[in-house]
Amino acid sequence: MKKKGVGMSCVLHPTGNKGAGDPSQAAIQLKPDGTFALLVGAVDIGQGSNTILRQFAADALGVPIEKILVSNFADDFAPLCLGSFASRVTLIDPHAVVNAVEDLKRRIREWVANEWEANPEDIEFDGETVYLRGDRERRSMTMDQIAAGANFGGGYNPGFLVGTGAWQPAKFHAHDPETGEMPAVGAISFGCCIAEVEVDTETGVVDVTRLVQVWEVGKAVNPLLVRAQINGGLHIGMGYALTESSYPYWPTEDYAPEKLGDYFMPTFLDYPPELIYGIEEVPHPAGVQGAKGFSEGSSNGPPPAIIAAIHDAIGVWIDTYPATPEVILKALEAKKASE
Amino acid sequence: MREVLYYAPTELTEATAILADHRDKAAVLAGGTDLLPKLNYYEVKPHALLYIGRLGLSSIHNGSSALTIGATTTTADLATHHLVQQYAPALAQAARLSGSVAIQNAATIGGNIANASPAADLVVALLALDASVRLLSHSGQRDVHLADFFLGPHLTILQPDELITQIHVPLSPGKTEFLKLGRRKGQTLAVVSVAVRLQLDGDLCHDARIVLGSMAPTPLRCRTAEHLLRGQKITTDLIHQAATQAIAESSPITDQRATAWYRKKAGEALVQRALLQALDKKEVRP
Ligand SMILES: Cc1cc2nc3c(=O)[nH]c(=O)nc-3n(C[C@H](O)[C@H](O)[C@H](O)COP(=O)(O)OP(=O)(O)OC[C@H]3O[C@@H](n4cnc5c(N)ncnc54)[C@H](O)[C@@H]3O)c2cc1C
Repeated sequence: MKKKGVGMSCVLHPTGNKGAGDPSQAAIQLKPDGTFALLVGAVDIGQGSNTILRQFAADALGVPIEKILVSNFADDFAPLCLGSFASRVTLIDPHAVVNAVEDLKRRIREWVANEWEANPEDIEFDGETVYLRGDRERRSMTMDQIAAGANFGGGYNPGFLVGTGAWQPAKFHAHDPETGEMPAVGAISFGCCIAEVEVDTETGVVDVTRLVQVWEVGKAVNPLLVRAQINGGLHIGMGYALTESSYPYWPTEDYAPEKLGDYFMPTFLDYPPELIYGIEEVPHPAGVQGAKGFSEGSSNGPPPAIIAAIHDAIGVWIDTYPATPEVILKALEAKKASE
Repeated sequence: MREVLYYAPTELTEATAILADHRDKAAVLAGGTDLLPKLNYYEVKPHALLYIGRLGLSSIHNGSSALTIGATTTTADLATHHLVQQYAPALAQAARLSGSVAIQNAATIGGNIANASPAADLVVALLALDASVRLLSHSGQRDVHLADFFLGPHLTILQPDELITQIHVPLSPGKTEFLKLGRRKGQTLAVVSVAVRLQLDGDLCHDARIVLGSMAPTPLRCRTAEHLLRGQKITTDLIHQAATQAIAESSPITDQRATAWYRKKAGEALVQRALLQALDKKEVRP
């Protein structure tokens, strides 16, 4: 027989450290062709940090995103980033990028002011045009011209126009020896997940038929990537809830997987036919434009929601992950025996 | 690394001569989805590989009394071919539930049989359909009932100099079903699978096949359970009895995929379900 159930979970997910320090760095260079090379240490394995850091750099410079080239492949040379973990990059690295852009603008101002024998404070930016306040007609250069001038010299003074930046949410802060208190996290993101399941009481197989996940992310810097992270969290969450196990019959280790192929993550066929996501934005005071991270939290929502839905369906609380068909059948038998 | 000879003949006589020359030191390579992992883990160390994909053995024909399926026909072709869907829907269903799209595109029916896994999906369906295999060597050919082909896990009566060239699926009437439980929905080996075929006359059962996968050292025909149904009026009660009997005939093991306890428990439900669902299926008419 198939039994339906619905379950819900609420998640709060810390994003970035605070009291522990947790800095990131960035560098940005004006290239000879007028584009900008943004160097970051944050590792992008597909989550999209390269994309959003480009967005932040383009915004801060007032230039189209195509003008920003980003690289994080050169970790021998790249500025430091403490790491792509703790959902910290979206909270912390944009500050480093924006600071690096400000630094680059300062260097450009100085270089241009020197050419024009003017005061750097009188140099203004208007997108890709740099001009002298009050004399825009005569004193104005495009980024291309500045780039060519500084990099190739010729009729201009040579210059290496690079800006650097660094940021951390707070200085290191030891625990209070009395209370143990410390400011632990940079920001917190909030999520909610509702799962609907169908439990086959004869085989123990659990089908997730519908899943809704909503996340409050501060500012959805790139809504498409936010959606991918919310729905991607389902993959990890479903595996955790239903299939992934190193020791299926713990404490007996005899049947541990020997290769990755024996370790069972869900496939697309296991996904709920109905997958709904939602994004809420409450700008976070610590983030650039209110942005903060959240992504890891999206894999924490589904497991408790699925377990709660199983309880709703068959009246048993499963207290071990994963809730494999075998675990479900054993739980049903135990329930029957106790009735 | 040792050098391995590679042959890709286009003539069957060439292929069987190569097998004869190398005695048991040649490995037949079809889709490679079972063989290559074994090569990579040094579980087999052949001196020569004989690729059989150029022998013209990828075809499905409709004869007067049987479907003839070439040994290198892919699982993807079985899943989608109209003759298989029409005359052997359980085989098409088993093919659809095998591996993933990528695996189905490479994997062959001959490989599924020769590899002789207790979990082989196509084999479970083929046994319910009374299939036989044609074996060819340099010294001749023989036809063997699939039910007599398997000796144990990865053990068969196939001789080192023999090649499976064809699979024959008799065109016989009946209602069939194939069901599979894996650890997930796709890209998964069977924890337990079942294929059934019921030949009915009204609600009287003329003949029955009940075959289990992953429940014994080889895919298993549950002959006593089949016998329970034969000549009887089909009732839900009888189906439950047959399912219980089928599981009694099985001897599953515990492995990473499931415990023997679970396999029996879920297997019984699966057999019941397969028999009940088969009753609602359209009858295959040759
Ligand atoms: C990721 C993955 C998922 C899989 N999922 C499933 C699944 O869900 N269900 C399932 O049943 N199987 C599954 N398999 C196993 C495999 O795909 C099938 O058994 C497939 O049918 C094997 O066919 P092949 O052509 O790839 O065989 P190969 O690997 O080429 O050969 C397998 C064995 O058979 C021998 N052989 C092949 N053809 C012949 C022949 N004509 N005559 C004599 N000997 C021959 C080879 O020498 C070898 O020993 C999976 C495999 C992988 C890697």
